Parts: sequence; C-alpha cells; structure tokens
Amino acid sequence: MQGKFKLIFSEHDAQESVTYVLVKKFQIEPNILRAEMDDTGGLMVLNMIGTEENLRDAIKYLEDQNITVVKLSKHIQRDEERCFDCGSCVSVCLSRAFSIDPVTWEVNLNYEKCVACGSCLTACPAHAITLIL
Amino acid sequence: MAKTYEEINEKIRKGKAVVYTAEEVIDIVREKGVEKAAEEVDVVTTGTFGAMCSSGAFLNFGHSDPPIRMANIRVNGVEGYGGLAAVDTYIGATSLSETKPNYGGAHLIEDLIAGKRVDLEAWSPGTDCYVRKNIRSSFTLDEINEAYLFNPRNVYQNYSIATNTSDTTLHTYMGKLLPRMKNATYSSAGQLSPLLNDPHLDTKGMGTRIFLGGGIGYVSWQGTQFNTTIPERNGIPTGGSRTLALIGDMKQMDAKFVRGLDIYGYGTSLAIGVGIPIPILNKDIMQRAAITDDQIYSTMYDYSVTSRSRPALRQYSYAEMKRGIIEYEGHGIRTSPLSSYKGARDVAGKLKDWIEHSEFELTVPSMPLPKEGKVQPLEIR
Ligand code: SF4
Ligand code: SF4
Repeated sequence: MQGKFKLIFSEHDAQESVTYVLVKKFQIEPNILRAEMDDTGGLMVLNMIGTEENLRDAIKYLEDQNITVVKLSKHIQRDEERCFDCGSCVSVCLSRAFSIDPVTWEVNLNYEKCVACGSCLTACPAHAITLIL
Repeated sequence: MAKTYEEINEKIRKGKAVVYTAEEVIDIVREKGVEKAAEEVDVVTTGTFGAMCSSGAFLNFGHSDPPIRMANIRVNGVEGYGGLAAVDTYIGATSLSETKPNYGGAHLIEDLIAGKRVDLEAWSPGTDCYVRKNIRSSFTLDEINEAYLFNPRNVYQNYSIATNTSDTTLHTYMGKLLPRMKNATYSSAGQLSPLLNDPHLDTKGMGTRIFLGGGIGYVSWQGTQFNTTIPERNGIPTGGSRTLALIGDMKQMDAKFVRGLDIYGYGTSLAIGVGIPIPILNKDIMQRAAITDDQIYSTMYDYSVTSRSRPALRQYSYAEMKRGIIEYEGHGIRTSPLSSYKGARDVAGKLKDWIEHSEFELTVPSMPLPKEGKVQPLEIR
C-alpha cells in the first residue's frame, strides 16, 4: 500500500526524526516530496509505502507526536470546462503531473504525481486549476 | 495545372471539393507528390487557438429614452472607449475591470458570446440633444445592435521562444518562466498555423473570408507591426513577422472558440480560434501548405533582459519544441506551448467541415497585403 500525506508540524524539531522512525519502527518507505520548515513549524508532503497495518500504526504514531496528518488525494483540481489544453502548465510542473498526449494534444493531469507545490496555479491563464489543501 | 477561385467554389457548391487540414495534407503530398496533390486538393484549412492581446469589440448599445451621449462607459466594470458617437464603443481585450478581479475585456467578450447578461453603466455631461447624464442597465448580446470583433493584430506569423536566464521566476505574456532556464515557452501552432502555410501571403488579402471564433470573419487589413524583414529558414520567417487585422460578427461566434485569459502578473488577453482556408491554385501553393514542423524554426530569447532588443540564444524547430524538451548547451529545457494545438486542430477541422458541406465559399482578395513592411521603434525624444 502507498499513500501521499501532508504532515503539519507545530514545532521545528519534531520533523527531524520522523522519517527515521517511520523506517525503523514501522518499516515504511518514506519519500519526501516537499518540505517547508521554519522556527514555528512547517509542513511536509510525504509519500509512504508499507503494509496497511504499518501505515495505520505509523499515522497513529505521528498523530501522538502532535503532528497533523492529512491524506492527500486529488488535492489538485482542474475545471475541464475552463481548460482549453493550451499546455502553459506543463513545463512549470517539476513533478511532471501534466503531460501532453502526443496523439490528441490534450493536456493530461496525473493526480498521483502531484506534490501540491502550487506552481501551476499561476501558470494557467484560464484559471482552470485550484489547489485544495 | 492551375485552378481558379471560381473553379474551387463551383466544387464547394456541388459538395465535391477536396479539403484537408494543413496537418492531414502533409501525408497526401508525401504519398502522391506535390504535382498530383496540387491537382487533387482544392482547399487546405489552417487553424490556431491562442492568446491574441490586440483584439477587441465594437458594440452599439441602442438609444435609451431620453437618450445619452455616453462619454464614460463601463461594462461589467470594464472601460469602453467613450470617444465615438453617442452609443458606440470599443472594448479592448486587455482593459481590466474596476469591479471584478481577474476580469477584463477578454472575459467580457467571452461572456457576451456565451449569451450572459452583463451590466452597463455610463455617464455624460449632457447636451441639448442628449439630456441624460447617466444610465444603469444590463444587456445580452442579442439585445444590442451591432457587435463585432475588430482585432488590429492577430495570427502572428511565427513568434519567439521565451526562456529566463535569471535567478527569479518571471511572469510574462509568454507565460511563467522558471529561473535558470528550467523551461521555455512557444506560442505558434507551427505546421497548422495560418500564416506559416502561406508565408508570403499569396492567397490572402483584404476581404479573405475566414473562421473567426466559431463564426465567419474577414481579413480587413494588414495587422499592426506587419514585418517582412525577419530572416527566413526554409522560406519561413524565424520570428514574429506578418500579422493580420481581422473582423467578425460576434453574434455568430461560439464561446468554445473564444476564451478570456488572465495571465498572472501580466493582465488579461483573449484566446481566439482563427482558421484561414488556402485555395490550392497551383503546385507552389500546395508545396508551401504542406510545410512540416521540422522545417519551421523560431528563435529563443532571454526574457529576463528587459530592454527592447533581447539577446537571441538559439533557434529550434517546432518539431523539437513539441517533443517537450530541448537541449541548450548540454542542458535539457522543458517546453510548454502557450496556444492550444488541440484547439488549432478543432478550428481547422471545423472549417474543413464547413467547406465540405458547402457552407463556406472562398473569396478572391479585393486587394493584396503589402509585400514589405518593417517595424519602427518609438524613440524617446
Ligand atoms: S501543484 Fe501543480 S505544479 Fe505542483 S506538482 Fe501539483 S500539478 Fe505540478
Ligand atoms: S494551463 Fe490551464 S488551460 Fe492550459 S492546459 Fe493547463 S490547465 Fe488547461
């Protein structure tokens, strides 16, 4: 099983050991997609791979550490009526969530690849994209 | 064997015209050779669907009772020009609404074409013949008199490729440009683009009937900044060169082909679908209409340079640009088109459909476009 999660920290030091514990204690394969930290805390977007049980336990552990855990799925949304397949969003998405179909020239969005960085929001001239966090 | 406009129109009227899009015809010419293709093919349709800032609408509101000579005009908060006769105005695509955020003339044009009701407010000093000093009302496209787009500069023949060598993100009319050349943007439809398939405008002139925003429009003049001095490669200019001024009835248009845009950090612009038919009168015209992306080149400029003359970095073909990644001095740069190639295809396809179904005949231009034109700078004196 795998899933993408947003972790919100209220204290700066809490995040340092998180990935270590996830690996050691819960045999989880974490992959940090995005991290923003400052003295007052911050957020981290993390992909976690592990068994269903381990994932559940890991999330419980994180929550016990006062970390808010939000499961991310389809947090990026595109208004298909507004989108006119211009492609402006494609090259600003460093995780390559957008791609152009070489046959139809439609601009496709792969939700799995999105790390919720928000870069595409200011690239879309049709205001077709919204980020729900 | 040469054909005439009239012979082609005769076939269109009988529903027998052979029509291909500028993309489809590439294979026809490859298979049959240019001579045979020129005999068989009557019309090639082109298309593009991207931002064209120099666009706008002339509207005539009709007279209220008592009437007003509108001097100061707002439609959905967007300023309309008040220097024409009493109830005529022109609303440009980039004019920003004072009341609605991220909304401008372009969005207003889209809303009107989509059949939406919009708010009108106007003021006047009042005259003996036009006593009213202000008016507040609303209208839809159907309720006003004339409404036509008149776009002073559309369908640029080719356009630059933009990148950014600086350390900060730039928000330009060429889209979002990431720092240190992490991406590059281009805006032409390449092998489908109207003016790239007839580079010296042999079949275009004033009065050429076209597809504009889903309705029928016409070429009315050369576009502003009409430029014939850009160096060519394979007979095609390697940067922005010729342009057209277009006119068309908004009441015939379809909101599917007209889109108000708000380019972050720049402002509003209008994306509009434009398709121009090319009559295949002879084999030279056939040859040029079959141009492919690998023969069309554009020049990449550094948009972090803010002076008028930006340094040219390199040239790339549209075949390279459309692969999604280009190479520059050993680095890969990801690319984004800014105009919709899918939309361009829809436009060319729709125009083809009209011609095949005898709904659209070709017009002989009443005057050719200039053979020469250059762009003069504005000197600060
Ligand atoms: S927010 Fe947009 S740019 Fe960022 S990863 Fe998701 S799709 Fe890509
Ligand atoms: S930039 Fe916006 S309109 Fe253009 S393809 Fe992306 S989502 Fe669609």
